[in-house]
Amino acid sequence: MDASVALRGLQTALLAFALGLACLSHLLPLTPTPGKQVTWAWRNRCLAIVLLLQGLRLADRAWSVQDLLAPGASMLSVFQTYSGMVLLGQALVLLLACGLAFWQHAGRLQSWSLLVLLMLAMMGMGLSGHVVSASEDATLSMAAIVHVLLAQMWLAGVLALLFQARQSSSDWLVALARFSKWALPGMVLLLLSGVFISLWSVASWPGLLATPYGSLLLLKLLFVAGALWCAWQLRRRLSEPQHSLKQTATWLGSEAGLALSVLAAASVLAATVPAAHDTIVWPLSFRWAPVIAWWQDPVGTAQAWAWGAASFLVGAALWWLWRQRRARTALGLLWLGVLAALGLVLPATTIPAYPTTYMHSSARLDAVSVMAGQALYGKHCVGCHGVHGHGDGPVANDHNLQPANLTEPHVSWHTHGDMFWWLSHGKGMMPGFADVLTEDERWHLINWLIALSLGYEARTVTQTPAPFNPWLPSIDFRFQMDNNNFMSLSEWRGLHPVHLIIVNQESELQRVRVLLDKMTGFPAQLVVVSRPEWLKDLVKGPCEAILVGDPQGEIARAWAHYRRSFATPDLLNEESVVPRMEFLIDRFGFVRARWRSDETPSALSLDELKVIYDSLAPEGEIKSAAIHQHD
Amino acid sequence: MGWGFMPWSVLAHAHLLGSEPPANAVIAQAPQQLRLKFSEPVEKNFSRVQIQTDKELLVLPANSLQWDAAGKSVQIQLPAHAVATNYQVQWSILAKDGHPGKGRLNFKVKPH
Repeated sequence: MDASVALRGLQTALLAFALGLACLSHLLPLTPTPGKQVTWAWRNRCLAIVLLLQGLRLADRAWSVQDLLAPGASMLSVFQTYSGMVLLGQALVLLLACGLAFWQHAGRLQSWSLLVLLMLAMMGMGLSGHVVSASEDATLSMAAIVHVLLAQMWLAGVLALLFQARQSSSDWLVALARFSKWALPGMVLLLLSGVFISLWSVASWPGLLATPYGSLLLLKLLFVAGALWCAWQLRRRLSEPQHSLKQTATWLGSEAGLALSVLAAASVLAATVPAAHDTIVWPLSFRWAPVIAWWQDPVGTAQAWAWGAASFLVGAALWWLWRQRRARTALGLLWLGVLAALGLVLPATTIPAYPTTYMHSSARLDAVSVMAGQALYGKHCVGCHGVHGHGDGPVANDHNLQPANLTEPHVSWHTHGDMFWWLSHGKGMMPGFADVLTEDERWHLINWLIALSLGYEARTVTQTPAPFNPWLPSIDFRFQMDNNNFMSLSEWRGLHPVHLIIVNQESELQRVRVLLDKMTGFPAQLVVVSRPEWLKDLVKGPCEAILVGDPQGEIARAWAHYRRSFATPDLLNEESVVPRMEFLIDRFGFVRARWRSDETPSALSLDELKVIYDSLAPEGEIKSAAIHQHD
Repeated sequence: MGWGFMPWSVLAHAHLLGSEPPANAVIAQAPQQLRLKFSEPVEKNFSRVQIQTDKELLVLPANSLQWDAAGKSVQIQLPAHAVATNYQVQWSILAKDGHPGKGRLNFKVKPH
């Protein structure tokens, strides 16, 4: 475990304890008593250690960056960085708090001032952590800060009350009752903010189940559940007029122990990559995917659902009939029915899965990758799957094999990781290619398969974008700007929509000239892809158009996968080149509309296009699995 | 109880979100500039980038890195003599949250 994480965890626990002890003065009568003197002595010891740990954290902070920076810069990094300044500020606050705590003349002003200083130090714990990384997302940032403070307040209360209970004084029950009133709403807010943050950091069920981060989070949730159970028991006992003091203290001790266990788990998590950013190695041989299972075997799945429903109904009917006379047997039969139903339905709603099922591609869906994949397909796969992927290759025909038709929609049912596994290790009669193709080459091949399959589905893309339905990811490509710098199409994601024109016939440049002349104040970036020699005579005019030379025709051929429409489906892949195609790419990188010059001889006017682009402007980002597998 | 969701743990680790040229890309022409995009804001003066090509090691000083205002994206102008076939970009950063981090990415220029 990282030393800085251990230091921070220990300091957090001690600071919370010190704050809790300081709060006790406000939850109990302020009259100084021998017991109170003991409490203050412990508070002061804790604060002294917290201050010492703060010094160690500063030293650790300077030490940890020394190998990354120039000699002597590590100390500077403490004084010249945000996190270093927060640490220094926190140290100053703790120094003041220590001075105030050790000041002998206790009074209400001193007590309140100390409380404020300790709260400020706790805010420092929140502000110096990874919370700053979420500074662009105000809601997440706010949730994180609220969460830190509430969690520390809760731990402070539990530890201090436990300490007071151990002092053999019964006045801690008064403090517990007062603390309990605030604890419930605080806990609800704490859990809500925790769920919000966890959704962001884990992002998916596989991430929760199959990453070290997810496993640790589940362990922490187990501790959380235990602590909630203890808290509920405490609350129940407090409401009883006659309750055992010892038992109540035991429940409080259990809650404190579980809280510290959760803190330990949290400290380890701090050095763990969040599930949302980690590679998922799926541990099971199946995954739950009811929709795909249904499409793969509708009859078998329907039968399983029918038998499952029948089992449940029989169990429920038996429970209903016997619930009066034989209550226990009836309940047992009901549970048997439920379990039988689950046993029948669950296997029918799963599909095979592999360790790489949720692995992300190392190659983006871009024109170079797609065309490299096509070349590899031609070399290694055509024999069985056929020239156009229809599963009709000569080797397959000779040996009476039935390879998959790669143009059918089933390709998109599988994750890219599934395809990577089959390509690496084989599937059915297909051999594995792990020894033949490098990892990158396998991903290129998969990118081509995806483009091929999406291309057939692209028939549903029309000249009018379907609102709130982005699904077809754009195929990225790089190009050189006028200033000789390179850019990628994907760099407009999150900024502007793109109007992409692929020109395959010189006469179609007339359309481009019209747009270049008139296109001012247009809500999308115009990008024209064509042969470099055709672009020479084009004058950009007032608009900031980008003209991309495509000498090898790589971009045009990659985007030709998306040419298909219902009017020209070209299922046998016999079509010649489309003279000009225009694509509407929304600001999140999805192709939302397409115009083929042969289907719309009178191209849309700028005003008509503007209306279409404006119609998409109100849409927020809609998450799509297709594109995120490429990011 | 809420320690189970402590934010400093859920938001851990600054990492590279993307680059131009992209990692593992095979590109047609040698790049004249690089762009790296990180998941978290970075301390601009305490981060560095070096590029190992099949010809030389280019250590780029902090002042040659052009950071955006948010400190999450950096643009690096490559010297004209740095044209090569294989590139390995090594980055070392100090994230704004105080955590150091490092990583590398490779790309190639397609031989003509």
